[in-house]
Amino acid sequence: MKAYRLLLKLFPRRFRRRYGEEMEETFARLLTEARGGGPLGVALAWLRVAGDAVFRGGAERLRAVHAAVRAGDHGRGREGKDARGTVPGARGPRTRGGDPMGALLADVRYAVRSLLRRPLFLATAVVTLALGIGATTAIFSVVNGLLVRPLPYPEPEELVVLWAENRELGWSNTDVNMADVWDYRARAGVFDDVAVFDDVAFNLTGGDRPERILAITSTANLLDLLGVSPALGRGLTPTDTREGAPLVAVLTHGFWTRRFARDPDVLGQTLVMHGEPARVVGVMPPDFLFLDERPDVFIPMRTDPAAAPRGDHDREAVARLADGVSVDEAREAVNRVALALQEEHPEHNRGWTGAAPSGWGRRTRRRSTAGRPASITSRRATWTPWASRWCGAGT
Amino acid sequence: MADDITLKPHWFQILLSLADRDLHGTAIMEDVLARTDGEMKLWPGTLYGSLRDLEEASLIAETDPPPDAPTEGGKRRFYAITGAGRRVLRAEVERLAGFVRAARAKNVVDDLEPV
Repeated sequence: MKAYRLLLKLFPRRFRRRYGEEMEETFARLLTEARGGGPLGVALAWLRVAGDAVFRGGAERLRAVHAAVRAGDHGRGREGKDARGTVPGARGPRTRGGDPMGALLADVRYAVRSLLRRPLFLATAVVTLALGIGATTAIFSVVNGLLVRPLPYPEPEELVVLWAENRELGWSNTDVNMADVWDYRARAGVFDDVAVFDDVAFNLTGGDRPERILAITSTANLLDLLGVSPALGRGLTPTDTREGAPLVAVLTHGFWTRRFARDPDVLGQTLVMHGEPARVVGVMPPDFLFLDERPDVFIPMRTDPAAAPRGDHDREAVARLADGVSVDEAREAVNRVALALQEEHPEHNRGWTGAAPSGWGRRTRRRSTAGRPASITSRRATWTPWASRWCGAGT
Repeated sequence: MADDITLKPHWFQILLSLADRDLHGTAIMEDVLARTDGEMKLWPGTLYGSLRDLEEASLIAETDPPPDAPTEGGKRRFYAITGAGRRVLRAEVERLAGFVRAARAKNVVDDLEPV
């Protein structure tokens, strides 16, 4: 949403002040809708909204300039030419001596009228400026997010993202297999903890109106691993993640604000997600950020990771390195386990070895399911706040 | 504003959303999205620029939120259709209905509900 706030700067300040917050909310809903179309849908949504901001923002600015010119002309008509010293029909402004503000205003009006007489030149200049400013701010956002601003978690340098890779199939930085990740957690000996998660869109019914919300479904240890705690209530527990356990939900602060108007008695209330009631057990603090997803709720992944089917690479994983373990050491340890898993499960794990790049990078996602080659290979067009380092994982 | 103007498609959809209830901007966008099966996405600049234009044309007016409606801390503005807006909307619907009648007379389609 930070990127959209930058786009909003293409609109005049008065327009932003009046509609800016609502525009953010509207775009957030459109983005949630676009996620149903996968990464391509999200990319198209960003393109469309960028076009909307450039053209509508430009139009609004022209409109504001035009209104200002008209107001200036009317003002001159009322005050007479001697009041401002401007002679109608003259090529340039003439001002009375000793009135620098009057001269400045006359210069501005003259410049605006000159620009309006050359609309093609004006449009070219506006578009060029918009593209230049947009590119500059986008690059700054990236640099700021990855190199300047620390991650909003304790000891962020210990956090790594696990990816899968299969060179035989030509897949890199692919989503991981849940059972494989749980083996790394148990056997690699380099992690304090590993959590698995996924993002899922839900239909939320009940209340005053239905809506589409974004949930992060995760193992119970995700928030503890990140080092964050709910502001209200509790997080997810191992009991919540048992198969058949009643569904519970931890709300993000934004969703709590939007849906419940920050009702302090929200704990124990029920959300109906895809027809299943989910009891609210916690609310996250306002400064909590999770990826670029802007999720609405966190819910338990109600399955035993160790018993998950091999071969499906459809989950994401984050790990916290044990004290004193480097990323390279972790990568080697994970790959040792990955090679062992190839021998133990040759029907599913053949060819999966880890050799992902290290260092800062853009998060990409590919998914595959057993027996079906991955067909989604699009790049995720946002940055992972916590992906301080990569840890290639052969899964 | 004259009542016989031809509405832009998104103006028409916005007025249609407000025909039976007062809504805020995001709810209007969602209503239009649902009614058009996702065909018409009102991107924020278009949506709020149109709301401002419709308000200036006195076709809609800002109104108090309905009781118990979530207002997002007051940042959501609710809009109601005005009498002029309703007249313009009705004129546009009749104009479109005329096209359908003309198409039916030429046997372009024969399985439409009566207009």
